[in-house]
Amino acid sequence: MNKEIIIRLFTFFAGLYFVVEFILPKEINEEIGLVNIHESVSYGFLAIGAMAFGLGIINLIRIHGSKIIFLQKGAFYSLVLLLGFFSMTFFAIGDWKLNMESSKRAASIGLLQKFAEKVETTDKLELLKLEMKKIPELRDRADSLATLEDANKSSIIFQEASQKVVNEETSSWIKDGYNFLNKGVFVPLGAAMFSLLGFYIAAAAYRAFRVKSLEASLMMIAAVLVVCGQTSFTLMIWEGFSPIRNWLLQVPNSAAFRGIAIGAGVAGLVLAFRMWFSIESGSFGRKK
Amino acid sequence: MIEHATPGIIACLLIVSLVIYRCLRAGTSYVRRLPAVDAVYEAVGRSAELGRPVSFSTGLSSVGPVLYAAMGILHAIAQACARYRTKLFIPQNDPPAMAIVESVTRDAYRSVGLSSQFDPRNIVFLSEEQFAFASGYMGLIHRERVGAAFLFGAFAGESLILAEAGQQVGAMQVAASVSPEQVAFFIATCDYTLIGEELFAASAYLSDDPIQRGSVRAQDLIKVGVFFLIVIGVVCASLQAVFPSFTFSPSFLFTGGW
Repeated sequence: MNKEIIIRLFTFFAGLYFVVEFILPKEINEEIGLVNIHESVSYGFLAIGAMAFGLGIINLIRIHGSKIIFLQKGAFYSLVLLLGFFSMTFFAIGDWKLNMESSKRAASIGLLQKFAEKVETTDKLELLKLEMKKIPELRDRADSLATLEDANKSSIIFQEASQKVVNEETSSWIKDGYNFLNKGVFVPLGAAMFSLLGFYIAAAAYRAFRVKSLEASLMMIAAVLVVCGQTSFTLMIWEGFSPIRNWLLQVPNSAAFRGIAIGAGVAGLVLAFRMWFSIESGSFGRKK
Repeated sequence: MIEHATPGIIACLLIVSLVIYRCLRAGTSYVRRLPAVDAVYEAVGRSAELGRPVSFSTGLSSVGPVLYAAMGILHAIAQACARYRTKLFIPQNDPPAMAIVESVTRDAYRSVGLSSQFDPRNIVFLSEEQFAFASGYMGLIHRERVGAAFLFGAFAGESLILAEAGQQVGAMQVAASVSPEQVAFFIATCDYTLIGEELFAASAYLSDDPIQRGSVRAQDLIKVGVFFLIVIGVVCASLQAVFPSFTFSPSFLFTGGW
């Protein structure tokens, strides 16, 4: 069996799964037991996606690494990019690990708190103390629980310990580094890029709304009416702009949107059939 | 009440199979002229004359029908770039899509006998994050001063940023998106725009492949069917508004017997 046939069979059966899962009625899925394996299949796809993510990282390191090594044009920018990439990776992994550890400790503290509230015998009390000594935040407080009553009313000790865990997590240098890179650099840079849209929309609107043809004129009139119906100043002049705006958006605009969506949906479906049966031409299987 | 899509999907599958079979027997099928697709070769030629590179972006497309539709056009553009000895940059957002893009581009160069011209370093992974990708794309377009920029695939809020970057360096731009919201931005910024399903028809137009052309014909037939269903729906709804006792419910199609 050659490679192409294996790929085609794999594609067909993977496609068949989705057809059965999403297109056939729910009752049939339940009857054949497909509902039960849906979660496992979804995890499988996630795993494949995660592996593919490595391709992006390899590409990034290969291209920018070679630029730095051979001191090609833009090597400095590549260096900044790789430094950013590695530092973000380091701090993100560190933060994730820190969160995991602290949530594990907080969960243990919460569990012990529930246990302490219901301790009724001395041997259970000893067991509680033993478990408390295993958690750094509770180690010193274990011996303060002398009686069963102490244990039953010890919720404040556990709350303090939970708070300590939270404080420790938030005051860590890894958390600081992660917050700096994420909230201090990444988010503002994303917002800055998004804000460029405001300027670009003005430039694009200037080009698009020049009255050079009948279509452009209609577009400009429609745009002016929508803008007038949207801004409070023009609505102060005449309230009639608002219903005109609503009509333009809900009737002709929706009709065009739906037309495009139906066309694209049908075309996507037909292409999906071609992919499912591996009859896509050229690079995707069948040779011309 | 519509409970599932089975009858519709089976009907579509039958139409597609039948029309593709007929086109395979006939050899080919007519696809109407798409000026935006004709402009693809013009843009690559213009870049070659100016001695500037070409860029092709699939935007935020992940592996799926939209990416595969864009791959047909990428194949044709990569072949033209190879013939004209023009550098082709393909900035990427999705790693699995990048693997497919690399394979298609390599195949295109090989198909015109110029495998040595193919440089995988020109397929650049920028970022999976939308605006980081957009800023990376802008940087690439400005640094390399591309002569032609092709935007084919799925785009979201970054579409205008990408198209404006090309506009700023004076690149000839051809764009195609299935998202109606982004089509408006592309129309305002690019020289040519393919709207919605035209993206899927473009690769059929560029090739003589009867399967691709047959599927375009099939999707047109399905759309005609959908159009008639809409008309029937409008007529029924209008009749029910005028005569409240009127009912028309082909429930046997959607609920019974499955």
